Order: sequence, then C-alpha cells, then structure tokens
Amino acid sequence: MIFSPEKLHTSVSKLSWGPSDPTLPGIFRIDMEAEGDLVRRARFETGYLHKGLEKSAEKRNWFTSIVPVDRVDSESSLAAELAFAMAVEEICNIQVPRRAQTIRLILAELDRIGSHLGFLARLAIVTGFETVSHYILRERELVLDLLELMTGRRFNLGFFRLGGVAADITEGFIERIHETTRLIEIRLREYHALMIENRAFVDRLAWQGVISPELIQIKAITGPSARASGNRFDVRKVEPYSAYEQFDFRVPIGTGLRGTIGDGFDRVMVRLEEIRESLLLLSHAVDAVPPGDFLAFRMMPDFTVPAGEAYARVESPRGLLACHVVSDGGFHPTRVQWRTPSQSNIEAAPDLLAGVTLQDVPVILASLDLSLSEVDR
Amino acid sequence: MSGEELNLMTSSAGWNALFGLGEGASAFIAAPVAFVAFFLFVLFPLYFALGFAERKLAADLQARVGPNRTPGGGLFQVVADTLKLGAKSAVRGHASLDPKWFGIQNAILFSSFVFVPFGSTLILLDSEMGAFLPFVCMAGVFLCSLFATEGAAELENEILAHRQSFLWISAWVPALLGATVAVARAGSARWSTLLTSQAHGLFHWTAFSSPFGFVAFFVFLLSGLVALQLPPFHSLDRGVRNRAGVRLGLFGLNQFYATLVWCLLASALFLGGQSIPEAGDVSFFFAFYQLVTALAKAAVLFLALRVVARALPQLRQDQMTEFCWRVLTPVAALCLVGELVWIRLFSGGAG
Repeated sequence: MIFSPEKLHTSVSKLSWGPSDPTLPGIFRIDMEAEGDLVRRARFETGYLHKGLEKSAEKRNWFTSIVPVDRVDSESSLAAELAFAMAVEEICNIQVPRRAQTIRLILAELDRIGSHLGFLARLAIVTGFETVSHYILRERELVLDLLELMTGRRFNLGFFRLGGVAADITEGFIERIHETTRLIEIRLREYHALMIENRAFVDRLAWQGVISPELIQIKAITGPSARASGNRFDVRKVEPYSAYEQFDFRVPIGTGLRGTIGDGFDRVMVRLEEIRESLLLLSHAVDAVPPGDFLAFRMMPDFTVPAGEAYARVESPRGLLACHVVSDGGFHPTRVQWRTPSQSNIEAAPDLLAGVTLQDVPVILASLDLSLSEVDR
Repeated sequence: MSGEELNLMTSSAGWNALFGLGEGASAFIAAPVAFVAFFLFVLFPLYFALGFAERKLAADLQARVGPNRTPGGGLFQVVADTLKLGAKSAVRGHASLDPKWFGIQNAILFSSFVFVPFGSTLILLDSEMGAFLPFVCMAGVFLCSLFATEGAAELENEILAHRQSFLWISAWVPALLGATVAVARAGSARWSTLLTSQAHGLFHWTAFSSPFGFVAFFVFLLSGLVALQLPPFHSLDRGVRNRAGVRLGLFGLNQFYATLVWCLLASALFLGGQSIPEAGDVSFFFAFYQLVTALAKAAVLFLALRVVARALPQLRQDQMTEFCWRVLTPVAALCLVGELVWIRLFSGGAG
C-alpha cells in the first residue's frame, strides 16, 4: 500500500533549517518539531555570526573603539554609536553642543527610516512580493544617499564622536532632506495601496505571530514589535536624549486593523507609521538646527576617560538598545556591554512559531525584524 | 493501426508542409521530426528570447536595470542562468526526488507536444478528446510528483509534494471546466473543429462570443498560474530547494515549456487560436503563418502572465487551494452552465 500511515509519517517529525538558508532572516538555525506541516516546537541556535564585538571594543583605545561599535548592527549603526557615545560622555561629563545633538537626531531618524524601509523590503521578499521590495529599496537608496552625503558612507557610518559628530552639515544636505522626505511621503501612499490594501499580502500577516502583553514582559520585547502590541514604551519619549525633547512626535501603536493587536500585520503598520513620523520629525529638525559647534572637543588617540561606569539607552529602529561602559581611567574601555532589541525578539520567536504552518515561519520571523548581527555580536 | 485510421486522428498536414515530407506522410514520421525541430528551433530560442524579454519588462516594472552583464546587453542572461543553476548543489542535503519518477514526469510533460494545437493543420493528435488530453498529461505530472517523494528522506519534501498535488487537483478542476466552456461553444473537443469554429473574426473567439466565455478565459489563466506555480500561487521555493545540478537547470526549461503550452492552449481555446479561413492546399507559407501566429499569441500571453504575476504577492498553499475550490471552481461551473444557456438562447442550440 503506497499511502500507508507509516509511510506518510503522520506522527511528529523533526526539521532543521539553517544556519544558511534563504528563507531565514539571518545566519541561525531552527530545529523544529512538526506535526504534518504544523510546527509544534521550535528551538533556535544562534552564535554563527559571533564577532566578539564587546571584547574588540575593550581592546581598542577610546578613539578607535567606535569601529566595532558600528558593527553591532551594520544596517542601523548610528543607534549603537549614539548609545556608546552617550555612555562615555556621561562618565566624562561632556556637554554635547546643541547643534551636534540636533545633527545626531537627524541622522538617527534617517537611520530609522532606512532600517524600516529595509524591513519592509525584506518582508516583501519573504511574502513573494518582489516588485514592491524593489520599489522600497529604491527609496532606501535615497536615504543611503543622504547618509553618504553627510558622512561619506552608506553603512557602518562611524560618524558620531565623543562630544558631537565628525563633521558639520554638508552643503545642500538640508535641501536634499526636504526633497527626499517629500518624495518618500508620496511613495508611502503607494506602499499603502500596494501592501496594506492588498488582501493577499494582508492574509499572510494578519493573525500571525501575535505578541501578547505577557510575552512582552517576559522577554523584554521593545521597539516597534512591542508597540504593535499596544505597548507605548519609546525611549525617545520616556527618557529623551539628543534634542528629542524639543520636538513633538507621535508614537504609533498597533490597533489590530486587519487581524488582532500585536500580529505581524500590526508590526508592518507600526513601522509604516513610524516612517511617517520620522519624516515629519526630520523636516522639522533640519529647519531647527541651532548655530554653534558640531563638536565639543577634538579627541586625540591618547584620550583617557575617568574611572567610572555609565549605562545609556537609545531607541534604535529595532527597539531599546543600551550600552554599558566601564572605565578604569585608562586609554581603553574596561568593559563594553550591549543590550540589543533583536536578542529579546529572537527569544520570543519560539513562542510565536508554535502552532503555525511551516510556510508561515519565514514570514513571522521577517515580521520581527531580527538582526543576527545584534544577537551574536 | 492503419495509415487511413491514423489520418483520421491527425491534422499534421502543416507539419508535413513545413518539413517537405509530402502530404501523405505518416504522423509517425512527422511527430519525431516536428518534436526535434520544435525543441531546437522554437523552444530553446524562445526560452532565451522570452526569458530575456520577461526579465527586461519585469525590471522596468520594478524600477531596476535588469540583465545587462552578459553579451548583447544582457541577451544571454538566461543562458548564463541555466549554466549557473546547473552547477548548483542542493540547499539542504541531497536532492531526494526519485530519478525514475523525475524522468517519467519529464516524459509525460513533453509528450503533451502531440496534443498541442499550433494551428488547425499543425496538430499531431487531433482526436475527439483532443482538448482534454493535455489535462491527462497534467494529471500525470502531478501524480508523478506525488509518487516521487513517497517515503522521501526528508519529511518536508513529502509534505510539500502532497500539498502540491492537492493544489494541482484544485487547479485542474476549474481549468477543465473552463476548457469545457470553449468545447461547448465549438460543439466538439477536436482541436481542428475548435480552431475553425473561431476562425471568422474576433467575436467568434470564445472569450469574446459571450460574457461567460470571457470569464472562463480568466478562470483558465488563473488556474494556469496555480497549476504552473507562478506568482502569486507559487510555493515558497517552487521545489527549487530539492533540485540540484542538471535537474535544477532543467527546472527552468520545464517550467517555461509548461507555461508556453498553457498559453498555447488558452489561445487555442479562447482567443481564436491561430486558425484562418481554410486555404485550398496546405502550403509551407500557410503552415508557417499558423505556427508564427500561434507562437506570437502564446508569447504575448506568456509575457503578460509572467510580468503581471511578478506584481503580486505570494499566497500560502492552503490559501491557494481554498481560492481554487471556493472561487475558481464555482465560477467555472457557473460559466459552463451560463454558456450552455447562452448557446441555447442565442445560437439556436449549435453547441
């Protein structure tokens, strides 16, 4: 008998995806137990991208330790740079000029827009929406162009310094910001029509991978993934830094528009809304850059930091990113530790995958916006 | 089977004229010659040309440059892709499809060539069931997939094959019902009759002769998207993960052939095919004209299908199956009933 139950393997079976798999959002491995094509249990194995970034920062002097800091998340490197700079500035009690703070805010928001656009493009690819992913990447190129105009780089920017930023605003940068924000605002309406109004796309995400408030508490999920579940926590509001207190902006939360609060679709909606808010914030901020210095002091390679420790946190595009820096008064950090949002998200992933079909696994993982670089460090 | 009986089942005078075989040449000679010639001079060039055209059009649609690295401004991109795919190894372990079933599946797929209507005089097997025979091939192809992965080393392959087979069945039914609408209008499932019944102008084409024919045309195309695993009805990897080397290289060609055949069927069933009012003698130019018209219509349909399909997101397999059973099948059945009523009311029961 060809289709005997024994041959059909209707009992629980074990599957293993990764570590290098085109359907996964990074280099990691998932071992799953499946009943038919429904996932019963999933176990994640990470560490394949471990670069020793914390140790690497401790081996360098204060001047060059920004290099490994950049690599915490190459796609949105400025958040890690900012957290590290803020922590060291707190130990040294350095007052950052207001102009530098506003420039930091502008670049951080550009970084957020670029990261969210990257998220949308990746999700579009995973859901087979190749055309839209190309449209989104086209807009992300504009954001990367702006970052390049200002910093000279597109990724791993290395632009923030202790006490400010590496250079003043480039000529024509503000005009280009206005131009680009207007264009992206128009294109966001197109994405809305292509993705949010598209039933096939919505059906892939609505009711999928619902993050409950309890899970947020247990796994310490932050950022857009938590806000999609109704949690309003945003470091920019709770503990404003880098001139955020000077600007008014909205923190979007999930509403369960098509499915339920906290599902994959809400995570997309929240990020789309956050892009809109960041565009508004940007257009206000570039018109409000105060005059003055862009750097409090010029740091030399023999720079030392007084003994002490500080913990700084920022709202990275993926959530709460915090940096703990310890100094013993020497030429290099004694300890650098990171708290990254993707770590919390990936810890929540096994709970989200239980009970879903195998086909939904890549979509749910993509909706969490994981950065394996952040997880493995 | 005698030659006289065989002639009753074939309409291969066009192939004979194209290859200078003489009017009375047996289909047993015309068939292999036509098959080899089709592969060498039609399928391969079209595979590369339409592949390039599709990629360029898709690039324009997707706001990117598209192929431009291979010689001729990217013209040889599909050749490069085929070579690249042929050199790839399986993503997860070894390819687990049974080679025997893989071979049988390919044989069934390409045997559909004898049923494909390239023109009213270019049909190698023109039987009374001609319009339904490609569906028999299709059933064979999905059954092979089902058998091929039975007891596969990786359960995932088996699950994928089972899901795929049920999906194919769900697409097979509305496609068959859609084809029956055209058959009902022509009053016969014989390809030559189907084609000549639509040969007198645009409003004699099944798709434009009644609203039901028009809807049935789209049902047939959508069923084709599901059956051929084109977006948005493609599975996660379209089976690519389980293939490696030559099989992966063949995968693209097979899919192209299947899509082209589906477009030829759609064109023959709903868009007037490539028939023109009968000429006295079947000359080389008449047969050539039919062949070129058939391929041109199929090529336009192919490009339209592939390019439009790229603009859509992917559905999950259970969503596709549900769509086929809940939407396409009832609509196709309604079209068939509506068409029969339409024929009775407006055509005096010709069907």
